[in-house]
Amino acid sequence: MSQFSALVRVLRPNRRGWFAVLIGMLAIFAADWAIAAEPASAGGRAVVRRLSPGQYMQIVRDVFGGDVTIGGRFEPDFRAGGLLAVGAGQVSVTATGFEQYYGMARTIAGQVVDPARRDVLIPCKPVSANAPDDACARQFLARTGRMLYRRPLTPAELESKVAVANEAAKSLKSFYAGLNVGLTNLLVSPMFLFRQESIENDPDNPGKYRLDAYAKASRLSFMLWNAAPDNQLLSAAESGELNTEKGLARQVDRLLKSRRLEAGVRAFFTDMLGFDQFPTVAKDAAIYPKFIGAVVEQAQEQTLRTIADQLLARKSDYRDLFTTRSTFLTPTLGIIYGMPVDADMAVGTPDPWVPAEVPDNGLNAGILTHASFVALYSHPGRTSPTLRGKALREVFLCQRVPDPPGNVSFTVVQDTTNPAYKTVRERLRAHASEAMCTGCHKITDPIGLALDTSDSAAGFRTNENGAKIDAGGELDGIKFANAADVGKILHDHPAVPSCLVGKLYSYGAGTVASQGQAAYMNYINERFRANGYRLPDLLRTIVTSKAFYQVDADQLASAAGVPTYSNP
Amino acid sequence: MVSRILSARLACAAVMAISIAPVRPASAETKSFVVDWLTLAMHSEDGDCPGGENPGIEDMFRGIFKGMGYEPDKIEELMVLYNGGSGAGPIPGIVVYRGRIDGKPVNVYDNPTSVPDPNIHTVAGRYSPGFDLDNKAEPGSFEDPETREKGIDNQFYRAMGCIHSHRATPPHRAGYWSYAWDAGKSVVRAWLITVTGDDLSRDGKVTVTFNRGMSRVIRDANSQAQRDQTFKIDPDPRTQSSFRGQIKDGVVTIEPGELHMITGGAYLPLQWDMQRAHLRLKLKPDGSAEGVLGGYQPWLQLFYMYGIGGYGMEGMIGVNIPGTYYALRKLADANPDPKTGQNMSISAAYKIEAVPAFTIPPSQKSAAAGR
Repeated sequence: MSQFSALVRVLRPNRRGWFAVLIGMLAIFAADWAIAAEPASAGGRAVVRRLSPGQYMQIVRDVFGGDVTIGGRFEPDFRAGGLLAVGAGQVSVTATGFEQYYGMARTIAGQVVDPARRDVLIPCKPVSANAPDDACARQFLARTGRMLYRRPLTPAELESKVAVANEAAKSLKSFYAGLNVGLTNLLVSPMFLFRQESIENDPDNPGKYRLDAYAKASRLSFMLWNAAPDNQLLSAAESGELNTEKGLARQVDRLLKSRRLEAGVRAFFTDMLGFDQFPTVAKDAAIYPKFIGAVVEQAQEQTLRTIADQLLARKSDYRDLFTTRSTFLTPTLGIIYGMPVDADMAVGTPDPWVPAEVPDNGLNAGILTHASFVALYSHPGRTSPTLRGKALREVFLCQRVPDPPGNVSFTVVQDTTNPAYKTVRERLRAHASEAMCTGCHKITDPIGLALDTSDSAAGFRTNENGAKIDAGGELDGIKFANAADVGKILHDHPAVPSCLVGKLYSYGAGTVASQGQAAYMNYINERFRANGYRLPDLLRTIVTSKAFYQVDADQLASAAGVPTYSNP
Repeated sequence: MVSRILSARLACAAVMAISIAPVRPASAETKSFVVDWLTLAMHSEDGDCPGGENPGIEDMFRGIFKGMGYEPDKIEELMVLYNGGSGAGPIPGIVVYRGRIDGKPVNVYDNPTSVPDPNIHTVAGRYSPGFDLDNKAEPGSFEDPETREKGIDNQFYRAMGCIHSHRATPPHRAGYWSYAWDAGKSVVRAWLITVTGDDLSRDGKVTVTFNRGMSRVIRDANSQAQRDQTFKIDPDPRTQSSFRGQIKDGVVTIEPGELHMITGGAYLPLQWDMQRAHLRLKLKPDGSAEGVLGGYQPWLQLFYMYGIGGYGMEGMIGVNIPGTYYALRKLADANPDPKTGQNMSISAAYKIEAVPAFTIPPSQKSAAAGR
């Protein structure tokens, strides 16, 4: 209807004009139909992925309640293809990591069987609290195991867990102590700790494979909610509803309408923007005294709130993230940016968040000037146009920037007190004059220098060492004068939306799209464009597409360890 | 009205300010500050205490016990307990209840005149920062070491300045006052100073207001007050004072008036009621401000600050509390009681160090809460 209205506005039809409107609408429908048809795809891969810490914690909250303490430390994540979600398919569990998982499992199980919670979390009472009760244990382990494994336990799996609980109950003379051991056993199982995607023959494409309904439910749920499938989604998988077009659409609608979508979107952008690097961010207190511990957490939250507001609440164009002046601030972030924050802040209460507008000074706008970007990609005592430029290209344009060679001298760049080179532009120019450095710095530095009006701690500045900062440069042939200009260029850069599409697909599928999926990716890109670059529509396009769940038989043959589990 | 330093560095903030607040006349310029440090102004020098520094904690306790009639052996026995780290044994009870009324022990902090005046040593030095509050350069008054003005009235410093924890020479701050203000900064609402004039880069008339913020100071990575923090102004009229003044060569001064503030924190006077308040505040190029605030304060308000501290104030800070009571009473130099003739106020001066801040008037909700 919006297209119809636009045509009417443009043509202002009389009787003949209405005919033109009709023809125009037909043309639009034809174009829409052309891009609405999903092309054939080679399919992706079935992947085994370790749960991320966030996913692990969310599942425990969903299954046992938000007040259950987890404790322990998680194994470090690994980034591949620009995403931890892809790296999760390339990691295992070390012996030390298993000890941690085991400790967490014991902690969680102990709380579940605790008298304070058992009546709520355990659906039956044993005949005797001092002896095994296989029927009750089976009931609990089957129900809980289905949620933890994201599928029903096979009879053999279930009976083995019941047997463990039975043996332990006998030894410990306590049904609940036995159940504790049984649940611990579930929580340290690879079936819980890893998302194992099982496959089946694709009846619509004889000779090809697709994820089975439970793997499909998991891929869908982790993509949209960063959580395991809920009971409804598992039931839809169980009944076969999820393998029908309408059934899938119904579940996608439900998941997209849920408030939990925000958690999923936040998880994706947390991964894409590299926020896992924040624990290592530190600033020299002598140079940047404003940068206190609270900033680290609030910087990430500012950007995630902005993204959730723009892309979900307002349903804005994704590209507007690079130009928007709307954001959210706390009093502490106001200090960092040198902006007043009109918030009621009582003594002893957490920092409140308030909507804020960045000043329309034509210099700074968009998430590139957020502390979550400029402070993250800086050194402790100085900015780094190189790190910023590299991150900008890799994160938002999906362009690979090579790492520097190992024998580079950074002396000139690091010396911020050299009177010969007052600004970082001058220092970088001197550094990049070395032949081995020039190539990469040409790629990274011009756009990074545009952000140099934000210091290492995200404070706004106009000069460095008394010299005026020149933030001008050129990006892919387009000249700019400052960070706000770079935001505008990115807004209109064709690689920006396609980069998001590629990352979102990789995030959901756990693997980078292959050459055989090029037509499919083009289709997603085209749908994204046609839908006004709106994230919820993009998510819908991806998760309702057939190719998102198809498995490439060739890759299957080469993928060692793809599970062969089939539906019970 | 949102206000703060309108420097080029923060041009963006100025635009932001305009976007969320009514616009001031274009000719007005406002700079707001949050007080990072407020400490007793002093200028300690060798030989400025003719009787020497007052005894430290242990010697003070020995003197107290001796005055109470304890034998030397018993005194040393008690001091062994004091130094044994076992909570000082019976010492707190003895020290606290050393007062006598009608022969019965009483809490000396509640009844400071229940013991004889220990005559603590007081300052007789030449220098002290401050102001000539009474326009009388009487003999014995101080000279300001920075402005060289004579007739400086700072009897509060005179009373306390021979106690070790109350001695410092600028730019250092005295130990007690550093501790007191620093501890208060974490828990009490911030003090705000706002200077408004047509053009603060030129000499001219200004208005200076003192307010209290609705929130406390956020500390920076070096534990100092953060620059550029936003404060809503407390609507409580007991925390608001306004003065006419002028700026000359970047230094703001005010016409003497009354300054009121509620501090509400431990180790500081709960309430500030300062008469004939004077201010000398230098606006520094880095956006901060530094200066001296002086005036007459009810000496009982200052005594209570120490008295509330009780045994801790004596046992940890080394302030003889009844001695302080007598010294403040003797050195009080204004507002004589019509009946007794006893001066009820004492001159005092404080060093102020402040950093730039944004200030916003209280919201309707805050105003309602304030009432």
